[in-house]
Amino acid sequence: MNDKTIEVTSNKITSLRVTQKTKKMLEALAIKKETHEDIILRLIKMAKNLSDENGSKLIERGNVTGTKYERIHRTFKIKTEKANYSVVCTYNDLILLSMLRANKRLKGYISNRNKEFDWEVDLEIVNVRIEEGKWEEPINLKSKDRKEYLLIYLVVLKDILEETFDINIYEITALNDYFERDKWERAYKENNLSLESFHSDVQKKLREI
Amino acid sequence: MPRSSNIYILPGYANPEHLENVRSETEHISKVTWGRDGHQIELSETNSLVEDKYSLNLSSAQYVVEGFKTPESEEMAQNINRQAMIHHHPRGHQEKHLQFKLRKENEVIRITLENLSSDDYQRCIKGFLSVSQKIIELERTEGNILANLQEFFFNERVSELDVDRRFLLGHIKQAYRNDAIRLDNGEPVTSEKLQELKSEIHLLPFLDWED
Repeated sequence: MNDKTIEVTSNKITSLRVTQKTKKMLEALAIKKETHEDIILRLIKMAKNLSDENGSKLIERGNVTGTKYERIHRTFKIKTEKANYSVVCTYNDLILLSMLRANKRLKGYISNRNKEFDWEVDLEIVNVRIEEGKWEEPINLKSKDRKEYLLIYLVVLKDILEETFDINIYEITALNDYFERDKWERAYKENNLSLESFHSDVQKKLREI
Repeated sequence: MPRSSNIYILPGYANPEHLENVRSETEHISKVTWGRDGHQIELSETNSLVEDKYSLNLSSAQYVVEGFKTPESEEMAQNINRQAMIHHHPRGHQEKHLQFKLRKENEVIRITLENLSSDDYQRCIKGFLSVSQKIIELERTEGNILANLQEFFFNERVSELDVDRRFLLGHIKQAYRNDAIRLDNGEPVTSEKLQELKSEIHLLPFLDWED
């Protein structure tokens, strides 16, 4: 007879013993108000990304370096003056590009070029829910209120850029800021973001209003 | 994965009175379901909204009360579960393929559709839909179902898909020649095994190519 007891417990808090120096090094990696747990989980995710067969990859052929993007998805909750939205989006996984940006030596291992890599977010809204209503095709919102649809797109884009590259796009905060092409261009240049992304992810979309 | 490449074919050929659309956070399912007295037949099309994944699925299930003996043979009646699909997904067997779950020993057969353009894949999906009519009719006669299942599931446009049925069967024939019809253990189907599979009447319409 099997006497094994399977114990089911809640997720308990444990303690981790590290030196003061290691603790300070960990805290130095914090983005915004991340807790120690948040930092560790983010680093684990990055490490998994690097070792995963999936995930975006850089491919070098002679003098040419190309990027093969992995698509990832997330649900964003957005509140505008008109309504509360849940929005499911797919976009390019840019974690690798973010790491290369942060670590010049790592970039040097990939290639000897000093030029920044170009990339694009290629954000796509695939599902929308307004308040607690039913999930709907994005075209429904786009055809009813094109400007609101574009606002949601730009809000999500800004959030992805800030989180991926650990930046704060303070130039774009109020409602009207989102539709100002010059503010986006300034934000991209001041934060050294890819101008290819500015052209395809922002400029092209702003022309759709 | 490329940007969204959803395929919506079933709604164009299903009876709109019985077509149900269910959209969740990450999936869109269109389906027609018939059920009565423990017997259920479902034709469903599932698109993932967040990854490159699609399936058109024909499934039937017959549930019997435990211990019930069939009047014809006095043998214990068994639950019957059959599934046929055409699909692709980013994990496991990633190529576009047909997959059949057979009643006998829960066997799984896969037919890989190789080197298909996206237009040709959609033609194969339409061909699968066309063959589904025969399978559903078999379910009706076997299950002594009086309802007109052809009308229940499909609209008139489905008769346009006969040419796509022949297109699909041509690709299945090619797959057999290329050893791309395989058992779950990865072994290609031999000519002897093919004859055995053709004796499964619910599989025969997919293997009934012209030589």
